Amino acid sequence: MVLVTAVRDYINRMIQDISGMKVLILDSSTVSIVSVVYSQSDLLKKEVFLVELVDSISMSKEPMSHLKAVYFLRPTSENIQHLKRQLASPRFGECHLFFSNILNDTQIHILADLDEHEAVLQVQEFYADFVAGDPCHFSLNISSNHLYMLPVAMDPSNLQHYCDRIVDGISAVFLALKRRPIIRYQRTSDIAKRIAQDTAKLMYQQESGLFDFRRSETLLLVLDRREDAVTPLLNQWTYQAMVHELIGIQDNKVDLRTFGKVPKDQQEVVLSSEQDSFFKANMYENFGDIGMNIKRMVDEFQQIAKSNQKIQTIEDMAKFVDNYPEYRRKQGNVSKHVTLVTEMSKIVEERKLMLVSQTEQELACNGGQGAAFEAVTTLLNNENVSDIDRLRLVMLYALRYEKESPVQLMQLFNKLASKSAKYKPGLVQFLLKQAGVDKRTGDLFGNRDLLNIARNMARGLKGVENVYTQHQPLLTQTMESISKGRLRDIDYPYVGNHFQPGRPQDVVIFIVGGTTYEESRSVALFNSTNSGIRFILGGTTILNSKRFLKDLEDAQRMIRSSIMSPVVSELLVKCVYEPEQEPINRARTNLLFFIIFYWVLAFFGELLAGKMARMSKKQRRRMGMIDKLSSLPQKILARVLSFLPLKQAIRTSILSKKWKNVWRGVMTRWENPPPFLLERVLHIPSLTVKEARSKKTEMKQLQHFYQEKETKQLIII
Amino acid sequence: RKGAVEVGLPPAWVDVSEDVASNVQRARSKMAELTKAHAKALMPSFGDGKEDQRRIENLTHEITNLIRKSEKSLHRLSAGGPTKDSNVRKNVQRSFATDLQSLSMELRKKQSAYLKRLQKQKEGSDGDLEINMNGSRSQVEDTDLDDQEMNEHQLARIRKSEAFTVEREREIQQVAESVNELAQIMKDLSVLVIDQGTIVDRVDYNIQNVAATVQEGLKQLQKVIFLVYVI
Repeated sequence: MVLVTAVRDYINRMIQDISGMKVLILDSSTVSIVSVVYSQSDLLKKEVFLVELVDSISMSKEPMSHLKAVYFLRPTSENIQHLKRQLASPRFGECHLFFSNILNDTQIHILADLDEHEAVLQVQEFYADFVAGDPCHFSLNISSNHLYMLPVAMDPSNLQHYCDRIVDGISAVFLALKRRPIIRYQRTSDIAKRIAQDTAKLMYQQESGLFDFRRSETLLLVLDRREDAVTPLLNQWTYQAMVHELIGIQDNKVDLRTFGKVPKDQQEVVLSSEQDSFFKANMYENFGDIGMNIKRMVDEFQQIAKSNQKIQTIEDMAKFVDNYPEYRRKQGNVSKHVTLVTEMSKIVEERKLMLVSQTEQELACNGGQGAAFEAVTTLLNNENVSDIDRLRLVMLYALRYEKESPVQLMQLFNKLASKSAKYKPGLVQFLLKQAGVDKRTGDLFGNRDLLNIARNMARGLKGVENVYTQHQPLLTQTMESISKGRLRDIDYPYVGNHFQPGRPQDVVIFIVGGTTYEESRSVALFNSTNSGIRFILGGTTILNSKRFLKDLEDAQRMIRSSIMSPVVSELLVKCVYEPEQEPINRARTNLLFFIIFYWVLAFFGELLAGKMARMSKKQRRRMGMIDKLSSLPQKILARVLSFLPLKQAIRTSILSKKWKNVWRGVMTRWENPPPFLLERVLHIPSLTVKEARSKKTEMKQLQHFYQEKETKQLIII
Repeated sequence: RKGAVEVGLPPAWVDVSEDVASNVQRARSKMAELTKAHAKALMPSFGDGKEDQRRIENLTHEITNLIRKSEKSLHRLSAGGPTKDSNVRKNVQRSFATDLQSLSMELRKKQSAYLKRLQKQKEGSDGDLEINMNGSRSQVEDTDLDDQEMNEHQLARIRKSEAFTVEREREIQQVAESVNELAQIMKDLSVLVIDQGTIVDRVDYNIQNVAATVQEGLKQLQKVIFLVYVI
């Protein structure tokens, strides 16, 4: 109840003491914050008869001086600007300003200057700066979540915004709980370290007065999502997690409008453990058990409905009228859960999720690389399995067996690329770069630590209750370590010179990159065991596999598009416009070659793998998808290539028709022709067969050109 | 201190809403009186309890009337098409609708509780009568003519039981009427009352609809203007 109660209290304090008709003005973030804990009817009871967005264009200019304005906003510069405009010509009788976090001095000065009409009666800070969807689970709803995967230098200002928002959210949680924590972070994550240090600076230096609460054993642990990339990729089989994975939950709302035959009043529904007692009792239960419980609920309801139809006496009618509101509420609730379970069953059936999920769980929990490879290959070959499920399977395999058999891993990549038309090439490799075994410290699969191996074996012998829910997120282990006071300093160092002997009583775990409902379930179950510690979980967003994959794609795209431009242009400038310089040294040569080759190849890879291949050159030109490097005139390209050793220059001839003869324009002196290296053209997966065939003839020509001998010396990479 | 904002008169509908508020207030205080009247009527008394009965009837009627009047005024709040503050009006409506609904429920509960206890009391006295007489009431009427065997005491009791029956029938009819009325009111109100725990009760859903409603209003306005030009 903790977080929800705290936010509700803040909102109560805002509107309680103001009498008369009120209007509540929110911004796009505080709307979510308020909506999950306070209902419209609660607001109406407190005489708040209008709710508006501060930046809403539809705000009419009509003054309503009989209403008193209550503003609840985040302290951002945009909001201050909005306030400036609105206070210049106030529409409402009185203004009461509440901010969800700490205002800085500049902002306070601006506000002081704004109030010419003296309409503002109070300005206060109420630290409800997070979305408390469940009692012990909060989110910050950050939109460009993929920023945490990017290197720092790529977009420093946006990354700073990102970190600031996180620090604001975390500090608001602690202000609401009235605690100041000891802070620890995951050593292997730079962003976790940065956030931990910024939070410590805020709490212990900048605003140390505000955070000066009595000493209590509280811990803040900042983790990185990439330490456990398995949990967001897995399919879920417990109610709340499953709804989010298959349909999607946003601020406790479920949007069913894209699903075909849903009854009109069930197109958008609310899943809130505070308001719906059936949901509260079943949110962490298995799909099978939920089905049974819903059936029981439906039967009970049908009994009531039947008895309602048999109205024979006045008494019956009187009873019906008395119970009507309750009956109506129950009817809506039954309808909602039946609709959700029906839609989810349909999806499970369409995507053959029971089959897919069995393999997923095996990949996540049990051993056996060979069997895993067979299983994944079989599913990849299965026509009924959807693209996203194929991708997830390969990713889970890759996360676990990255090092064990590179050949088989490569085979899976190729198969995936060939089966899935929309697959963005390199996404799995990108995932491994972000969250692979070299980046992790924890024992994600329970196969590093001796204790974990033993535990897994014991579990295997005991047999598992439900093969679909055998996975335990890594977070469970972390919580156990904390509760036993055994969280290792080496892996999770303290910020500053703080130290916490023994066990904390309250722990807030923040995962940069997002949490999952599977993890919040573990937290809730752990809390219910009365171990003496209360855990609260929070993150930048709440992930499901779709969102996690989207973050990966966004990050990959940004990294790709930004690597090319500045480096290439710099090199081109150097090569083309400074012809007098010394021959480029070896490292630069390789870099130049790599960049040219990779860029053009990547461009053609995308071209051929996707729809662009079917577009004509004109269309492509129109869309701006021109390969700018290749469209430079041949003379310049030849000049560029002349800085490369000949054999590397020759390699560029396979890139495209245009490049075919560029290298011939290079004037060189050719010493003894060394056995040169050729690309194994046929094995580049993104080239079509036609291209590959023409490359073959190309190779034959080259062979002839150099000599009639030495063909056996072709060393193939 | 009041701001130096141009303090215009609040719009006319605010008066209507204030009327409704005062009606609701009066209904609440009458409800309290009704509770007392119920309690008094259930206590053993020397009179025939007719005065108490009448009082209860009056109070019940008054409360039902107040509720009905308020409900009609509520519908007036949304009359006159969409205006710039229609959302405020809509929300005021919903708030009062919830209040009225809970008032109606309270009234119903009190009535049924009172009736139950009344029935228990009467059953007590009826039971006595049944034991003393053989057969049904029709027999009472038949044997009424044969009053040689009856004594004064029994006659009085028979008359009393008749009075009770008539009274009981009247009460049942009253209950039926009020139940009918309230059912009607409930039906009308249920359109206005928010179903708690559903999407309609979400603040973010209602904010979206603000934009939508104003857009709707603008569209309607545009249609009208267009028609005016065409015709």
